[in-house]
Amino acid sequence: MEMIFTLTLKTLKQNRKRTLLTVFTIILSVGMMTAVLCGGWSMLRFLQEKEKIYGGDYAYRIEITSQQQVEKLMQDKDVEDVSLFRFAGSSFYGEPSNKTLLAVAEINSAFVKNFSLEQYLLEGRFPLNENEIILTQDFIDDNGLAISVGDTIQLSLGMRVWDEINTELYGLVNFLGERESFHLNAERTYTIVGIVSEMNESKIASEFNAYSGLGSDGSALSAFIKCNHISKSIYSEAEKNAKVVGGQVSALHSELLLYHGVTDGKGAVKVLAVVSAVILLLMAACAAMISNVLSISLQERIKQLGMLASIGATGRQKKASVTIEAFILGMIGIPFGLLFGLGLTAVVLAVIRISFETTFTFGALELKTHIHWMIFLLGAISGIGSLFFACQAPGRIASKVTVIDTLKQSNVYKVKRKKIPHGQVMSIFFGIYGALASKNIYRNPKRFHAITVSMFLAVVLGLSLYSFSDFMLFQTSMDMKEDGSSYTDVEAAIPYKDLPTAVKAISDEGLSADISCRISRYMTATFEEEAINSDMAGYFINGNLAELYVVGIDEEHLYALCEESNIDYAAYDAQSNHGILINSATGNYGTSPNRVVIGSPLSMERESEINLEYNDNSKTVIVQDVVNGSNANIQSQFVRDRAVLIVPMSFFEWLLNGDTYIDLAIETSQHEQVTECLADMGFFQVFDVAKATENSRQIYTLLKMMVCIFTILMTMIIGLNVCNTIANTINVRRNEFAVLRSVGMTAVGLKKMLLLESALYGIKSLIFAIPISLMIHYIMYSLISKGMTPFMFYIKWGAYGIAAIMVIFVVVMAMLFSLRSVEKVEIVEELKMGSI
Amino acid sequence: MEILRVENVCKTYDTGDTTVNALTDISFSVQKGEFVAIIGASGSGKSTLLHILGGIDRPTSGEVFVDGQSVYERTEDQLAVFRRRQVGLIYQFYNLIPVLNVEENITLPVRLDGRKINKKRLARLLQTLGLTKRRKHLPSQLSGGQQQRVAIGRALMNAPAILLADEPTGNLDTQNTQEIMQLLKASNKTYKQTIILITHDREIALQADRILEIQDGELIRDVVIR
Repeated sequence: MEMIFTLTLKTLKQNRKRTLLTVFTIILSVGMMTAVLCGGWSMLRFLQEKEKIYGGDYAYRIEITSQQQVEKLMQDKDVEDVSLFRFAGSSFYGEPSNKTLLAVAEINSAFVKNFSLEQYLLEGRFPLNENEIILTQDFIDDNGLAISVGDTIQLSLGMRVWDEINTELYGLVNFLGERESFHLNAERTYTIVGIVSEMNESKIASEFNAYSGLGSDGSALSAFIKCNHISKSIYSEAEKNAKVVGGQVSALHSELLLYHGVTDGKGAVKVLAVVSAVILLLMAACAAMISNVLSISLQERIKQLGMLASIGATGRQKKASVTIEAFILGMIGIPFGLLFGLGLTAVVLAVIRISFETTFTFGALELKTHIHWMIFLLGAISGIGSLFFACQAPGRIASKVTVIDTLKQSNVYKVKRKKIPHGQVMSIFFGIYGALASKNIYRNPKRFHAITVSMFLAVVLGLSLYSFSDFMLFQTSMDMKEDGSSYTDVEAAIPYKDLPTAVKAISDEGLSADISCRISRYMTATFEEEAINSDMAGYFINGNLAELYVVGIDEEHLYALCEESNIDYAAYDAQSNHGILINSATGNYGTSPNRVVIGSPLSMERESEINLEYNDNSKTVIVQDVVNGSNANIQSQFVRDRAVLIVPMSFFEWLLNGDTYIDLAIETSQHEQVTECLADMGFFQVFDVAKATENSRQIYTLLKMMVCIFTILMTMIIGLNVCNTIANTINVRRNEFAVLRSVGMTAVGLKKMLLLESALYGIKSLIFAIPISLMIHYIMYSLISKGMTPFMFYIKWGAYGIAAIMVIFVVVMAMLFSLRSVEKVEIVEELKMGSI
Repeated sequence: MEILRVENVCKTYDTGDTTVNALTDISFSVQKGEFVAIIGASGSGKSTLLHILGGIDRPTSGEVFVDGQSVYERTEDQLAVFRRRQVGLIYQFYNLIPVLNVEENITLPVRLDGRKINKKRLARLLQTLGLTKRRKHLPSQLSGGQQQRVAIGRALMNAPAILLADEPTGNLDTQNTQEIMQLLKASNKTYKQTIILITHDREIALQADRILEIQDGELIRDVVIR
């Protein structure tokens, strides 16, 4: 076996190019798997740490009655720490005309540590007992207090109750004025021991602005349990511990548990299954490619193996030459692959961190590369596994190589088919060179398919993933203005009577916001035939009944909308029944029911009347302006699937009362603060549009980026594989090339033939890949368009162009790379070799 | 009429430390329609001489004239054209193109020239070679003798000035050897095809009209038999 080892090593040294190509393939394959593992692990660690800072480092919460019960909990070997929390009460501080709300929480030192509150400390320390308190700097500044550490403060602690629904107001909910009442519990005097900044990045702590040590008055406490290990048994552990202390599990920290792979449903199992499937698929793909390069190497050593057979090498020894080759190449490739994967992860994560700073930076925490020994182990195992499976087939072939194989002249690149296609089409365009190129690619179907299927898969996978991310990005941009900004930053639905309160609250917070009030309803109307666009017949029910989205806008913003759209506002000033018709709708309204179209369903002139029906009410609107087709960008802030009728808000006087819900469309750069302000007021239907849109956009942009990186990597791996295969194909045909030269083919003619062959490989794979990618593109469009907001079908031909260019680039580069060796074909030498 | 003239051809190989004189000062001429056999021991330089005559390998010095024109005053592309049109080469191991069938292999030089195939000539050639029924077969579907016939057909298709055969029967059994030699003689007699054949077999050499003997790169004997 030593001889086999030495021989294999020398052969590898001799064929440096082939060896390097194979090693690169292994490095890229192992690197990709390592990068997937390391990147996934780093992302998971980031999410875990982020959740620990934001939501707190605990697994579950139990409601207990005294601090003494904590000792019982700490006796559990799985419990690492217990953070205690109690809402001490609310207080109003300051002059009667300018009271500031205080929400006081009692916490222990474990809570400070496990909820990462130390980072907010500006001065002093956190309280250690119920007589000490720490205040936020904002509270001190808002009240103009000349307070410092060591001073005392007297507070009337009590309970705020929202009288309408008889509910205690918890934390820093905005003052509701007459709708709430205050129930005093106790007068307390505290010593100020510290000052903190606002704890905005802590979900629980941000709801309070004063923190005291725990009192022993026996009222209910929340115990946040931090565990040594988080596993599936956490659910039973939580129940057990709750029973021990006679309490109950009030909450599980679902997000943190999820990031540790623990869910109560089958979600985690499904995710694990998907991740495992992806890793296995990657391994299989890498094994297939490495197997291909080992087969190529084997083919070039057929004579050598035959000679070994002729001097008595056994099948096992011949197979060993393949295994040894895989082992040697693996010894070099796997460590470099692991390092490459690590480096790739670091680079990709850095790019993600910089590109999506707001999402992947959280205070001092940022997305970075986390290394775990398990990643290296898994990466190495997957590399070894791939190599092991890769050398099975070539090893079997090697063991069966006989002496005769080396003596036969037509052995190295047999024509595997009984019939070779004529190549007539290629012959017409490129003459004999085209005919030969066409025939050559069909001579060995396995080899041909290995190349074309690899490229086919890479193209289809890359284009499909790109289609998905592009469609999703398009969805997020649909409600935007042309410059990419949104029409609305915050949306809310509030009772009409609360409008002044909401506006005042936002103003009182010092927030800058442009608040537009709207009320909208879907109303139906019947239209005459001449008013209906027959191309959009699908928009109408029973031929002439249509639904319109009628929206009333406050005077100020109606004026602004008219200005923006070059419409004369004078027609709407004090004219409550005048309306602007946005005559555009997107949906399955055309002649083909399965096709989404954008069009103008109505054919109306100025001064036309629309008789609207809503419940039992009939109202008439006189259309003053009709906005059609491409000018209807303003429609995207309302709805897309219906024509929109914009009227002054006064049109809805017949519908409006104090309890009628109206919509607020708020433009503001301080969208998070405005959202919080409105939510604190008790309004439930508040939505931070800007944040949600930006999050979605970031996610899909990130997805698109990952798709590009993945596609580039796959292309590199497949490109190397194709290079190797084509290089081998040329290498084993050197004798054939010499014959062609000897019968009169010029060197240029030979290169032309080979370049045509390479182009054919690329074209054959694209002929199938492009239509199938388009099919998948359409299927994705159907699913996304039907499941979300409908939009017209489109194709980004640029992506397909790039895919085609990349395929042809890979194949032509492989061919050019190999042509250099063809140039060195010495006719005489090759003919002599063929004569041995 | 003189179809081939070789003047003081030498071929030297430099392999690092050593210099090998494969051919030393070879001179001879061949008339149109002659059937010449070149014999010599293995390593004597006969294949080297054949390759030089066929425009495949350049001599270190000396000249080769085919049909009155110097072969090696041509560029590489011109040499390729020369090989296509004026030379027909037959090898010991056939060297057919595996993806082309019989007909396509035979017409390969014509198609490389971009010319139209003379179908009558092709049909005649196939019939002479006994390959009419196998015209659509690939080389892998033919026996050794049949493959060598295809090689002969390829060499003859363009009616070259000279036909060069390098041990054409070296890989064949006795019966096939006889058949191939019959074909070569027939083409020589019928078409006045000038043939230069290399062999180490004196029996085969004696079937030619003239024998040139090479030893250690030198022409030591030039005998006209008939």
